[in-house]
Amino acid sequence: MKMNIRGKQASKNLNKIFVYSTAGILSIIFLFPIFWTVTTSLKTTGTLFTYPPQWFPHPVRLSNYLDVFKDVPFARFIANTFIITFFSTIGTVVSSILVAYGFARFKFRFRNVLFGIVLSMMFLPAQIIIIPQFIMFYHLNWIDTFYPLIIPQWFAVQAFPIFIMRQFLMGLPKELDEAAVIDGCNSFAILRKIIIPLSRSAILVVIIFSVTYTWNSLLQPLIYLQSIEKFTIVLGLKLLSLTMEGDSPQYQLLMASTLISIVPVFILFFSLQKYFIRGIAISGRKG
Amino acid sequence: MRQRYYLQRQSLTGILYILPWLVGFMLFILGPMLYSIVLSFSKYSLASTPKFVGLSNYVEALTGDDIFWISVKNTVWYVAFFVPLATIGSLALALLLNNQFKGISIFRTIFYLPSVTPIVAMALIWVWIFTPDFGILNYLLMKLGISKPPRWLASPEWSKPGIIIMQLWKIGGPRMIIFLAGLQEIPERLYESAEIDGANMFDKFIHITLPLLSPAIFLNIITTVMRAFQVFAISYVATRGGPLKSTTFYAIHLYNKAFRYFQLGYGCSLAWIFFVFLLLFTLLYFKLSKRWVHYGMEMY
Repeated sequence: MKMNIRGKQASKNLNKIFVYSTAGILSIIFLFPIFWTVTTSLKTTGTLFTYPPQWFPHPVRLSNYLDVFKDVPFARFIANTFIITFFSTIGTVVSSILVAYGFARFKFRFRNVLFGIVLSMMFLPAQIIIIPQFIMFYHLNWIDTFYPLIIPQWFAVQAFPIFIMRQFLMGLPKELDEAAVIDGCNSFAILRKIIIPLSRSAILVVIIFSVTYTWNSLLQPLIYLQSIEKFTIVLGLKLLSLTMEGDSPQYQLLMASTLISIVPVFILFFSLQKYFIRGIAISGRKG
Repeated sequence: MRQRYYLQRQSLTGILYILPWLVGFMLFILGPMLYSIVLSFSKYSLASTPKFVGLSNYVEALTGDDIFWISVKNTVWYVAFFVPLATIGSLALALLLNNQFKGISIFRTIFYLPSVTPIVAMALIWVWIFTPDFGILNYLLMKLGISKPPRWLASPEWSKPGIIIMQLWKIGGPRMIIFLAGLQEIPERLYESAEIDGANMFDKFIHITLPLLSPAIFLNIITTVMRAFQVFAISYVATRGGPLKSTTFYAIHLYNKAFRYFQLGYGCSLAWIFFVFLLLFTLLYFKLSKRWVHYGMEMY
């Protein structure tokens, strides 16, 4: 018996060593591309293509980060991305709360059918609607404006935020609403005073989804934004990568601007990591 | 009477709340979808009014468009290799991280990071890593004794594997989290009683872990497949469909036809062929899933 326990302890330790060493090696591999981006972004044209490559840049050229702003209107791209992300996120949050509240708390005909349609939207490939949408926005004269990227978000066109919010609201006890009804609150007052304050974590999940989605999206901005001063960061990166195709590609500048595009999402991730994970866990459970 | 009035009011209020979605769905999704059916039977390029051409777009796509079939082949190739690798990779990571060891959450954070990296940024980082002559990857491969490393994104043979490697960088993302959540719901006592019966690690994995994880596997496979079929951004940025069309995936072909050559009617027919295919695939997948997905704890 004693042997057995000792054996178990030993195998547990062995397991621990295996897990730590494997995870450690994998971490190095996973972090390497980011490390290499940082290293490259601090090199000079002279040290970029040396053989063997420099693992740590010498000399360190911080001014690459300033040069990025000189070569292309990168500050403009950042501002544009912030504007688009800000307004489409607000639209997504507001509309998905309202819609989710309707689905979670009221009975009406075809409710389940309609919610089924919401869910099926998650599987709808973007390709099927992008062309007719483009034609529609073209006739509205919205090409080369931010409207096609923002306005639809105010009409809850994303299924995931509605789904997350509804799942969360279904979990809130109905007694809360009923007590408020007795106190004479109407449904909107209940939403504002009771539901929303209690749903802070679900709202954060929706915000994260919307911000990362908008920040990272390529296809929509690519189709709708045409003049350079309207570009988002993602389009700016694509532009930079094209200008770099000459004889001496300036990879240090490309990597510096790439890092600039990554940092805001990384900050969001590190400060709200818990909510990133929570959103996924909720969507996974229902599958 | 009052009861009925109350119910009527309730349903009206409910519809009022979902109205934003209802309007948005009609305006931005259903309406465009219906319009695109009509367009798929027409010739249209913004410059003129749509001209009805019957089935000719569809006939053209299936019989006259070489790039259509090249893109289909590329996409199927990509899905066939990427989906199993990504699913197994994410599952393996989840198994590795499924414990309470000290500091394990740091690893979880590290593995998750690539999946929050914007896809265009990711593509550019890897283009630089993959650069055949000056890239760090081939430098390391040469150090390891491979004298003629692949030319990666610059060669038609290695461009798709290169893109798959880039995408596999993200195996620690949402897919892994869903696996991890699934693993954590498996009760420890099942493993304990299996051990008493003399089960080894492999038995436990096959007979306990896999069946109980099947709902998570089911969800992850279908979402991964759907995304993989629509692969676009990474090829658009990193290889622009090349070299020699080796990374011209279906979504790239569709984009080129619709937004580079403005054959909007033809683009719509490509979209509908794609949509019907994905729909049939999903239905088949759901049907077959009944054989291997176990829900709840009914099995013991």
